[in-house]
Amino acid sequence: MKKTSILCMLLMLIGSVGMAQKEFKKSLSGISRIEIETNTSIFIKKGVSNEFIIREGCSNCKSEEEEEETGSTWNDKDSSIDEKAKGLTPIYAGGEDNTGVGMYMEKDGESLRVNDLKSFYNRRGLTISVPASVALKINCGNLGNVKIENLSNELEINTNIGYIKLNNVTGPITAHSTTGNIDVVFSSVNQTAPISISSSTGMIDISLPSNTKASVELNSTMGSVYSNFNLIKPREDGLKAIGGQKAITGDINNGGVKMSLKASVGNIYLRKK
Amino acid sequence: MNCNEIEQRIFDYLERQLSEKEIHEFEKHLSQCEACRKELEETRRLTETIKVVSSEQPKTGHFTSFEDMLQREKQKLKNHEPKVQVLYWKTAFQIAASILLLLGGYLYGEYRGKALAQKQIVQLQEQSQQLKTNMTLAMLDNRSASKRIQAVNYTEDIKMPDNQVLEAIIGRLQKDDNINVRLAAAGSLSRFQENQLVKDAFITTLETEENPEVQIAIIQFLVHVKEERSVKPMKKLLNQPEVPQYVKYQVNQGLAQIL
Repeated sequence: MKKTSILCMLLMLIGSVGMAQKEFKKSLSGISRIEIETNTSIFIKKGVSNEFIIREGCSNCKSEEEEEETGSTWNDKDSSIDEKAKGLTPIYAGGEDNTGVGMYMEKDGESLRVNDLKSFYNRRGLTISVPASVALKINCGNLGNVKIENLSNELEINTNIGYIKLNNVTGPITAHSTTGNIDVVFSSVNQTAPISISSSTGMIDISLPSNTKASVELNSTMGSVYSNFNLIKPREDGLKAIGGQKAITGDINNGGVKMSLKASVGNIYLRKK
Repeated sequence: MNCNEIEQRIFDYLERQLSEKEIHEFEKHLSQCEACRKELEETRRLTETIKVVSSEQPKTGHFTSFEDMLQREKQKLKNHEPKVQVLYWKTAFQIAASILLLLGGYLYGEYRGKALAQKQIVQLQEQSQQLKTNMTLAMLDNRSASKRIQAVNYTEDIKMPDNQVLEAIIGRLQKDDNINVRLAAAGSLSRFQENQLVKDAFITTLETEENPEVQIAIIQFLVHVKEERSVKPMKKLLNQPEVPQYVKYQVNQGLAQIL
């Protein structure tokens, strides 16, 4: 019994050294906004300290279907150390790596800009943790997905093919994906600024608490709109906006923050939690 | 006891209301003072006369004549009342006139005040409109995309925003790097179907916009206002291979409605 436990500890130590997952930390005092540009998938969770922590590798960036397709998870294919590069420092065309994790970081007033210097193929995802006090702007390039959990920050997300999965967020959210699906589960809905979610070919699936106050505008040019909320149409006076043949507007719980869901081809699902 | 004190006590002495000591002193003085003896005698005669007279009852006739006199007095009071009433009306009129005067003065003052207040209200409204415009313009440049969308949506409350605001929103439609902001701008501008500036902006944007959703929003607006100048750029879209199929579908639908 003792022997096996010692063996286990030894293996873990070796494993942790072998994995060599590098991490970069930056204090966020005086920072109110973080802008991240990358080509790989990102998982963002709520951090406990007032620091921006970014780690290479991401254990829950890929969804189960993707893992089945590629036949591997990113867990085992992590950054293996290139023997030939021992003693050499990696140089990137996009800029200088001043973080140690292949990213260029720049502070611009109250904003922190972080650019990924490695290409999608050299990356196995990023795990990031931030406190609740900063606004986030994320661009995942062409292929990256975005997965965010338990954040009440203001989020601005843009992906091309990747999906956007937001769980337990409050908004305000401005999200767009060209082909990916967008799934958002709100824990509560922040009323200070509008929420705008759009996807060109993907579908949009939003869950709101049943007592949410919102004025929604649902627009799917070629898809269908489904909801189990009781939408009360507002009074129509003044100039009426045209465009969007299937624009559905309505108030939930006597109206509140403006929420705009727009899909061109996909369906829109608005669920009561 | 002196003569004054004797005079005060004469009646009490006659009615036997004095104490023994006082009687003694009283009689002692009397024995020495002839004037007081005379006073006493006269008072005695007076009280005895009163006693005889007061036992007389009033004659029966007195009562009725008293009653009559009472009635007469009552009538006199009643006759006096009309005079009081006339006086009452007069004062009432006086009070009413003074109230009317007060009211008139107050209303006139209010009218004057109202005219002034009207002017001030108009001024305040203009200032507030200008403030809203400035705030909207500032917010349209906000770093946060959500705030920019909020600024774009503000124009939904204004019936006729001035050109400065319109141009700023057109700027967002054409230059903002967030697709949601461009979409919101397109939606907001779609309300101004008569505005030439807006129509021109939509046509120029159609030639440069690459995002399919914004393209569709622009196409729908131009089709709705039946803008013939948009036919050429729309046909150009049909020939571009990178434009998705569903956008081309919208173009064809739109062209059918314009032509």
